[in-house]
Amino acid sequence: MKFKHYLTSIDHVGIYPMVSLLLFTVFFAVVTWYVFTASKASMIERSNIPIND
Amino acid sequence: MQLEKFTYDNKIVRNFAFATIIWSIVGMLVGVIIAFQLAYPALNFGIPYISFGRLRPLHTNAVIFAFVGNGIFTGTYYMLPRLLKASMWNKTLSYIHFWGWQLIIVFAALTLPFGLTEGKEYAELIWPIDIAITIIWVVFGVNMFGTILTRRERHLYVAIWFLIGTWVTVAMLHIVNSFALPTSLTHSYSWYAGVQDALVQWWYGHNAVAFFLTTPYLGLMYYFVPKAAQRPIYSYRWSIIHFWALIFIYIWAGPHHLLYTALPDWAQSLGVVFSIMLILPSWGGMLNGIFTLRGAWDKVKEDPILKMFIVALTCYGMSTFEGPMLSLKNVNAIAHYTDWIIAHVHVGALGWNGFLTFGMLYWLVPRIFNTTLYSKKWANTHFLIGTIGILLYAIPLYWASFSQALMWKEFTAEGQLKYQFLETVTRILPMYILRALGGTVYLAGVILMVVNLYKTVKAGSLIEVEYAEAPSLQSVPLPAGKQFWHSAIERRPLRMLLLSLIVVAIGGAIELIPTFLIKENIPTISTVKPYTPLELQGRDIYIREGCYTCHSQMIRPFRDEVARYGDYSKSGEFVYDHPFQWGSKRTGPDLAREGGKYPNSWHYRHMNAPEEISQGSIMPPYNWLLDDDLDTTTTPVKIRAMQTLGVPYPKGYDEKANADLRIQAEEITTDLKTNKIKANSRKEIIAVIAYLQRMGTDLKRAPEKEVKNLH
Repeated sequence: MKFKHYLTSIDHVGIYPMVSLLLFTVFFAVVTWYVFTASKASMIERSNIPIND
Repeated sequence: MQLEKFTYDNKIVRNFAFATIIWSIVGMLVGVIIAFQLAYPALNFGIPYISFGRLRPLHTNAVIFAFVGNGIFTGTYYMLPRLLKASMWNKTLSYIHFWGWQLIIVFAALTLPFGLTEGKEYAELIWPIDIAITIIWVVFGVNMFGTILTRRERHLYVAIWFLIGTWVTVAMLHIVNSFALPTSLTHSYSWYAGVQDALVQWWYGHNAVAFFLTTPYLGLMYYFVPKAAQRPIYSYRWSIIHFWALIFIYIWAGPHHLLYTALPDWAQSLGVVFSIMLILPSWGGMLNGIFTLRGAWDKVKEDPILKMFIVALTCYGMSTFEGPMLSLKNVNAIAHYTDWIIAHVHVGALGWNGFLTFGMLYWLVPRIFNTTLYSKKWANTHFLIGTIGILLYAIPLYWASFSQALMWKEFTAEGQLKYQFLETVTRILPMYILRALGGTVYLAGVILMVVNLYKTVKAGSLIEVEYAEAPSLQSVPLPAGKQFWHSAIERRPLRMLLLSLIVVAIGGAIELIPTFLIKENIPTISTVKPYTPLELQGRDIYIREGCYTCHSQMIRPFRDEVARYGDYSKSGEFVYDHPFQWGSKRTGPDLAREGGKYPNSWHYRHMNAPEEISQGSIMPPYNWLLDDDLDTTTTPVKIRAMQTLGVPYPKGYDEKANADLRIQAEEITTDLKTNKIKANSRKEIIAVIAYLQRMGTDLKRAPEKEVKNLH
């Protein structure tokens, strides 16, 4: 038995890393885009929550 | 605006803080003991309960779940009500959580030294304790979410997201990895076998690091660093990215513990890619913490608490740089199975978890006891001793790992392996001694902290209840106009819980599900047969004694490993291994092809007194195996359990198994007799020999058929 062979023999296994990478890239881009569209005032307000408790 | 009155319960914070302190001493003391045992095997004293293989799981479990666990809860019960402007939702649940968790720890300490274990790293605790953990974790979650839902602060501060992410992920990991079939109150077999078990275990194991030692501590960092520095976190924007990116990526990284093993290639690659990517959110978070102290360096110079936080963050940065590097296949080829990994985790545990906990305790204990720290000077000394301890611990181990890995791989000009395995061990023993001293120094620092905090507590008195007031959430309208999108999530904690679960489930699902589904595709090796009853019993003793803490059963496809141990391991060899025993460290040699290497008599003498057979060996003696009777009453139930799990013993074999067991035991005893060893065939050692002689021999048997697909 060839051990390299056996799990790569699922159909289209090469798609897994691509799907994963795409998922993450999209997710990361969306989070980043939204985060940097937030208003500065709201960011300052939130970051002060522990200081003012 | 109507202000509502409420209280903060400091007693529960004190309880968890004291538990953190007590268990830190216990966990680290056991660590120091086993570190010395490695250098001086005589310290095993031939006593089963304190032998390395049983104490090592006690050390790891104590440090992770008792020390760091209580540290998480200390911080949580302090910061959660304050960040939410609400009392903890239910006081009874708080105390059930506290006592339940301590009871779990006590039971862990009462079972592991007795060899009651499931044999999976950091998940050794037996199934009834696993259930107790699940219940107490749910109690904690209900109390936490109750508090969040009755809060008076609209927005959930980032520290709380980390707690939510932690809670949901730990629940998922613990439940999936702990699936087991009990054969008695104290024994069970992992539901998964071989490759699948390995993948689930390291998906769990890596994320125990990620979601027990890292994310909750990042939550503490996001609260206590700004608190101690009296300035807000450097960038709140970064913290949002930090959180989502970290929990998304972390869950994928588990397979980097299984590089070059029989795990499918594509899963290994996924693990590597995501491990490398981890450096971005990790360093973002670390820099966010360190930059919070920008412009406050004068304070850092003076304040032992800030100093501890800086070292904690630096160690976090170092280990999260090192982690991705170790995930590169070429680096992993050298580092895996060596002390590099031990050094790596201790930079994290001693530096990041330890120092963050100490800083938090120095900050928090005087506050809830309404006093000031007894001695700032001692705290500064602790900082110094602790830092030296970490260096003295880690540097010798890095040295040891490089030397050993290079020696393992060195060939003579004639193409022979240059070093015997044992030579590579004896060569690094001085480093083991230094490492043990490093741990002792670090522990001395902790003891100094205990005295300091004891005197602080004595000088003050506990403010059991703190009063506070704030307007109710309903009475404060949402600001008009466009809202920042993330506010919507922050305002809806259950949505956040669900989103976190989805984010962490994606990685797990993509890696785990195919590995399980393609089970039918795994080419079964026809010569791989289920263990005989005697071997099965022997294997359970192997697990009981924690042999996997020092011996791997996974030969990687490298020239030196194949030359040293034999043909590299194939996935099909492990299909009946519930649980898998691939191991993660080679303090002793790999055992995957141990069968037939030495005669039975060698094993008999070697287990009794390893040093007499291999001079300089640091393996503890297992003399009790020669004296203790093998419990064969468990054979039928074990066979039935294996049948349930899919191991193809013939129908009704459970009743015949002990007869076969006796025959095989007599064969071994007769063979021993020809070598002038008078052994009793009913002793445990016979079962262990049977298992050791079976290991890796299946492939050598004449095949009935070359390869057979199951479907």
